[in-house]
Amino acid sequence: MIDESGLLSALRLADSFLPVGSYTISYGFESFAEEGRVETGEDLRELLSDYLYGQVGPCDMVALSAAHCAARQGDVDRLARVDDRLHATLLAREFRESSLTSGKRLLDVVADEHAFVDRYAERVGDEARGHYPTVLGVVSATKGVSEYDARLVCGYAFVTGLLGAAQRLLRLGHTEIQRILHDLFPVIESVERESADRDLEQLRSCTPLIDVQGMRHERAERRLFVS
Amino acid sequence: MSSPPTHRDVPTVGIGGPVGSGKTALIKRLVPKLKDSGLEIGVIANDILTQEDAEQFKRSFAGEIPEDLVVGVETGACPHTGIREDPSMNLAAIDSFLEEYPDLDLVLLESGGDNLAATFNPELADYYAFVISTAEGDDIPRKRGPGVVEADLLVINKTDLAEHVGADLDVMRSDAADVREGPSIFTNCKTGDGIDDVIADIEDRVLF
Repeated sequence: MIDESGLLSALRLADSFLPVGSYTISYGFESFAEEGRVETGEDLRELLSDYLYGQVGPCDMVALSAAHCAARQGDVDRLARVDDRLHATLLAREFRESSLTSGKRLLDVVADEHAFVDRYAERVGDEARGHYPTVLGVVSATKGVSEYDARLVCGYAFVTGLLGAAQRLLRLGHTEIQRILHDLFPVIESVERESADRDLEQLRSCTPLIDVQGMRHERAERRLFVS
Repeated sequence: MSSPPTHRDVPTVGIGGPVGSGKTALIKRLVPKLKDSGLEIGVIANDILTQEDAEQFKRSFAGEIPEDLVVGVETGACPHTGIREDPSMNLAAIDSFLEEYPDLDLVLLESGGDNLAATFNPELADYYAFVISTAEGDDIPRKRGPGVVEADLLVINKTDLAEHVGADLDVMRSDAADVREGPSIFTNCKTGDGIDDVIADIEDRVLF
């Protein structure tokens, strides 16, 4: 496929139409909603900012950039190291499982579209793990989506995924959800800037309450989401 | 070395239909009979709210199906998405069955209770039965929902309740024949009536 600007591929990867199971994942948000810790649009905006500053920027985007770079250099071994680092950083079991399942599904969806992606996919389940940010970085790199654009795709898709979950779990209207999405654009841009120069060794995550809620979700009685 | 089996290597049968139509009851009837004919079966329940259906299956099939061949899949309150637009999580569940049971013969996929428009993605289910009940009204087939029209098999369940809710089975039979090209079978999952016909259709069109 020729996609010189990478724009169409970026749109495809950011779209909730991409069949990688995002609509089943809440990364602990279901526990926040279930316990009444998030009720209003303002609560939601603040919580999503915490996700972005504590997790998506310093962890997912940093991993994505490292994977993007490794893919440009054709270094499959380094991708396995990115996966390992992510695996060690995601504390809640369901977060790791959600990331792995989506990553494998994305590899499945783009199978046979690029030889390097297939080379990495062959290692997944054996020497590599296939976490979503890693796969997203690899796929972006091979499709001409720049590292910068790929980080924004990562942030945007994360936010829209959780806003979709919020709309199903809380009583929030579609225009309010769009306002929150719009309000979060500067936050996505800000965490992108902060993560841009970090290398894999600086990958970190600091979201203690989100991690606890993710772990509580494992034992929740009512579960609409896998995490 | 040949690659390990994936969801593409095992026959899959979807069981869809509205809430309370008898999907779970049908699967409870089908599994022991399919098991008796020597098949190793996995069951996936796409429950909307809880793991309740999956737990019910585990209890019901104890001794017949290993516990790890019965799983519930959460679909984020979008049961139709889970079986149609984005079956990722169901495919992942089938793949994980096959890691432990590479010789699995069949996977039954129960959808969450959904509306009449729900159809199964053909990459997820090789064949699907849509279950409706007489108690939902005898005009259901006439409404031409894609679930009813496109299904490989239409199962009209709870025939015993028809007389109590004023549903005319002849009307349902003739409307179903008008809107569908495939077969329709009447069942009463409580007594087991019609189950052998459902099995025969699955054997004929999926397990040949």
